[in-house]
Amino acid sequence: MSATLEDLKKTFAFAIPADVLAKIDPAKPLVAQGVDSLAMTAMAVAVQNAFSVKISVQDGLKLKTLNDVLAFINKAR
Amino acid sequence: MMNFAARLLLENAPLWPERIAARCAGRSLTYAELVRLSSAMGGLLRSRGIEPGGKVLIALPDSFSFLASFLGCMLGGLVSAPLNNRLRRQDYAECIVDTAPALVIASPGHEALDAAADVGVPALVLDDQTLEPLLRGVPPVQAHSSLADDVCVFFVTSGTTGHPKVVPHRQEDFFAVGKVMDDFFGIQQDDILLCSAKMGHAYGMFSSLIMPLQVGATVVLDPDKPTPENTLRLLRSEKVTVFLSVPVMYTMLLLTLDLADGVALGFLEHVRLCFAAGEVLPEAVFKDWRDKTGMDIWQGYGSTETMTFIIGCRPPHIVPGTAGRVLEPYSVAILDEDHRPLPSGAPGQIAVRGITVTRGYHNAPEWTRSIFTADGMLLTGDMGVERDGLFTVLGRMDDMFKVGGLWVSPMRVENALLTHPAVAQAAVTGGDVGAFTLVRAHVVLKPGLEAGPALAEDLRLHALALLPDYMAPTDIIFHGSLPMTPSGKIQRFILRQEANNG
Repeated sequence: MSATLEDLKKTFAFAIPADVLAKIDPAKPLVAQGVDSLAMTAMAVAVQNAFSVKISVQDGLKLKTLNDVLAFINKAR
Repeated sequence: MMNFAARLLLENAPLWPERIAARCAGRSLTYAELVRLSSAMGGLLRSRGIEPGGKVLIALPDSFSFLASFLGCMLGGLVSAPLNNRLRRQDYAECIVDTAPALVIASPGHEALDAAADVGVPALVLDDQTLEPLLRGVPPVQAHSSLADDVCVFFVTSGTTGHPKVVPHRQEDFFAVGKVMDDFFGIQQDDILLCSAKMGHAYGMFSSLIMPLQVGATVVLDPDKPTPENTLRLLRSEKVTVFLSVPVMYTMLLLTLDLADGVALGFLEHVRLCFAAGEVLPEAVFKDWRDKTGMDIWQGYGSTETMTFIIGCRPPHIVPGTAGRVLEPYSVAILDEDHRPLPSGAPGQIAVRGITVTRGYHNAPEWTRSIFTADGMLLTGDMGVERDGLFTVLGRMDDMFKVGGLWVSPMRVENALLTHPAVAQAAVTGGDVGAFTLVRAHVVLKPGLEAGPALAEDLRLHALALLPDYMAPTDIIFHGSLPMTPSGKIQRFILRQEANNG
């Protein structure tokens, strides 16, 4: 079964503050929406742990938006 | 006389008094104003009874106040300890004990002020609003006739225990760093520099103070924590030509913008030189940046102990994934466990000899002994390998690691976690995910407690309240037990390997 945006947001509940998460546009770069490097790192860790995928350096540089992250997870699984 | 502040302010600056020395928060500071404010600050400090050799601890953001305080101290022959201003009260308290300052200079509401009050050290509350009124009418200090060997700065870095290591550098080191960096970067008078590392670090010090001020160039100071937004805004609005940063910032910039889009490229319009140091730049980041901007990222490797880069690379001689070649006038060797030089291609500890290498830690003879070979080479604690004159940095020999270019002491983080009522044991290691480096905590809970994401978040928030933000763990892994040596020491390297393979 494919992961959904809602699954992803649930996974990030502890990685980024709720008010930031609620306002995120899944099509726009996360970094441009108030997500700092520590939160980006926490999100990447959450993705790895929750969806049993491994994010390489090359992968990481392509994961700009929530949609990018979702597509990555569903392709990797 | 060998006083680097006197060289900058009294010999060089009068050649270009009307040029802009620094820009900060939309304001400009000319070289003439820099001379006036720094000289008056030196005068103020001396009038408070601080004699040459006296110590002043500086916990200020990158700002005009920082420049005036630092240069004022140096001009008057005082020893300043410019600190990372994101540390916590406990860290400042330890720095005060170790450096015994006559005065602490800090911005309003700063935790360094609480630490100073705790131990009864006088403090001066300063920011760019109060700088000018404070110094109005204060007579300039007479430049102190410093000698080449006089210590003029204490940089503070951290060790595995989390206790600060105080690294003294001398007047002569500043002159030498100026020369080494001038040879490497070739900064011109019309350059405008922006550095993501703050002046409380050696990297920020030579990027934002030594290099620009010695040639009459302009430095752009960002008083805030560097973010991609601030950085992009400043690159564009201040027409920055030389951008010095850390690998994570390049990653964040790549994740922010569609750099291939010509419009988005506007922010790099004036940049002629991109540089990264502080951590190893991942090859993929180098290549992505080159693909999207057409620019190669210059790189450097050095430490607080060397005060400058000792290895570096610049176009057209950049081999991605390597740190580059040894810079003049340093000599670098790769040593085995008995400190004997290893042949090309064999990994070992990076050791260096050269003029700016510190003579040792302040008031810590045992630590000092541990970082030098019998014939006086500095042991960096970094593993590396050399092939055809090109050096690759492989990682630390001890448990120290960096996140976002800043040192993290595992024991400092572990001690913070251990104050949480649920934690029985904690071990902290560095790790990475994608192009980011991170703090990973391995935790054993007290009996009867259940691991879960809510508790992990609680531990993270608990640590965040006690630690500089970049030291708070991003990944928390719960264990039934931790690998220990027979003598009861936690084997962090085993945890590191397990996490990397898992």
